[in-house]
Amino acid sequence: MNISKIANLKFFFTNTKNLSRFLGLFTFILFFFGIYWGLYVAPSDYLQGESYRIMYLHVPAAWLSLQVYMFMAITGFVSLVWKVKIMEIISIQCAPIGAYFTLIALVTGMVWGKPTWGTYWVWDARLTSELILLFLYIGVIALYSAFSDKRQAVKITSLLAIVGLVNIPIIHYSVEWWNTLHQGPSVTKFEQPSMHISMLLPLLYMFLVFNVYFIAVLIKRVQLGIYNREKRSKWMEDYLSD
Amino acid sequence: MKITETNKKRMIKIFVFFFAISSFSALLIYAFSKNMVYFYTPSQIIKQEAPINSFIRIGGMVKVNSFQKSKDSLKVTFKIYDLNEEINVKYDGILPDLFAEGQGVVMTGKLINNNTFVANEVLAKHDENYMPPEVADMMKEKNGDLSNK
Amino acid sequence: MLRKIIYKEFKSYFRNLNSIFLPLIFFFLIISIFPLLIGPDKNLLNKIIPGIVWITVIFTTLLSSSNFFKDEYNNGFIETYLTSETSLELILFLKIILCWIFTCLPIIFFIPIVSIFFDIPLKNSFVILFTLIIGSPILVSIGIFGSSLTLGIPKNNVLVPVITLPFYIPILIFSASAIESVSSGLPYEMQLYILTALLCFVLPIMPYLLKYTLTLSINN
Repeated sequence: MNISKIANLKFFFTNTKNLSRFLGLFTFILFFFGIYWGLYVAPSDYLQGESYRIMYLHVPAAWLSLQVYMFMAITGFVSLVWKVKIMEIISIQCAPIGAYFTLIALVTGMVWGKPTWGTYWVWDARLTSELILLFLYIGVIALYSAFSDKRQAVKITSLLAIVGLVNIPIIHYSVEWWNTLHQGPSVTKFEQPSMHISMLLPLLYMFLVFNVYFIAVLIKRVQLGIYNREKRSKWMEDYLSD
Repeated sequence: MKITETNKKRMIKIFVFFFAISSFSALLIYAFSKNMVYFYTPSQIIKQEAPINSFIRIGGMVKVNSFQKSKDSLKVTFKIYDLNEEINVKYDGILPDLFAEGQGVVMTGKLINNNTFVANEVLAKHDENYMPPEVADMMKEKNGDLSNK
Repeated sequence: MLRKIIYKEFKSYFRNLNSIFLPLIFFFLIISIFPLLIGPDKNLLNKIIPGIVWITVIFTTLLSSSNFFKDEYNNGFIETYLTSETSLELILFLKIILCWIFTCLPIIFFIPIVSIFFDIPLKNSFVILFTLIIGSPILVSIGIFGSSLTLGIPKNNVLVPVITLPFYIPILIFSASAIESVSSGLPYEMQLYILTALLCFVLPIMPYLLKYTLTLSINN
């Protein structure tokens, strides 16, 4: 059992080097096209003009920030229940990536807020819950870095991430509710959000690009995590000396 | 003996979890069955349901052709309406870009009498429709004024 | 076993009466600092005093819960609990309740005095009281959960607040909005029901969660 776990890490470490390099390059090309599509090809909005285009960065980043948190909690759960080593590393390496996505979503949201709401920051429900999501990520990262025993740390942060995942809907709905109380819902709030297909397609495309980027960075980070954990093991020394 | 002990523990655990989740959801459902008042509407204000001279929130749509701007200051007045009634609003400050006649607004401030509201803060939110201007024009022709639907 | 543990808890709280009185004094200090900071404007103070009361309660619960298991962890008591016959969940549940009784309940008793100081109407002060009675046990149990996560860390003073504060937010939102609603004449029962729902969810499940965290922390 133990040997297969080591082999698992070793397999991952030795076989994904080219994959992550390829994915990195691939993301770059995809991203270039996505930016072109979103900023030049897609039409401008009837109400917001050109400023809405920032959503091609903002919306995928916001989606990813939540998706990465879910991924972190689920892999953490798997690592706690089935004690899969690689899942421990994947789970904790998600945290900084997710935090960056959250930060991107926040900053672009603020930039977008200036022309639409007239101010950089409003205590809008989504901005606020995104901010709290950032705090959740920071909690996980801070907790992890405070432990000296990193294997123990991953167990504890996985638990925190899972509890956080249970809490995210509660936090989200309470913030939404708080927001309707403080700011009033927009009049069209309960209608289906609708978007013209010429604007929706680049958005979905950018979402895909962000996902590819996430996978590329995650693989890179997991390699680093494996290196940090296994740098004194025999196979790593053998592998590096080759 | 040992098995029954663990069984007992498991029973208690299941019971506790069941209690927690069922009471949580029952109370939530009960809570949401109560009507929540987010803000006062113009009809409520005309009917004198809102307290005068204390901080409240009101919401409604800005009436078309009611917006007036003072020449030498930021003071503005406009009317907001809902299905039945309309009231006057006075505001001194910078309006958000998306503020327009026909748009929905939510404001905080005080009522000075039962049809005049002095706003401290005016908020307009963009609606959640995104479309190119041509499509918006088309929809306008079809449905009348887009923002007034 | 259970009786011994309760006795031990009581003794440790009463031996160190500071641990009961200091939070209370801390509470009054912060409450009286706010008027000095923002001026004696009565309207403004009336509007924000419920928030201040809540902030102070947060600080107090965080202070008292951030090193909750520290002594027992260092003395090896937690291993004893884990191997003992008595159900650990029950012990943990009692410990949460006792912690609440000795840190939050004294503050709750003093809410009427605060209401008199700041001239809060009777109805509003009742709502503040209710939100505190329902909400503070949730805060205490979340704080204890945070402290159980940081058991393996030698210095965790700021860490526990950083971890636990995001989880406080729903409780704070509903409490604050209940108070705000009652002070602007709107109905407030709904928020209290939601708070109670959260309490009914968190309090029974927390001992199981704590037990799992403790086993994780011990088995390294």
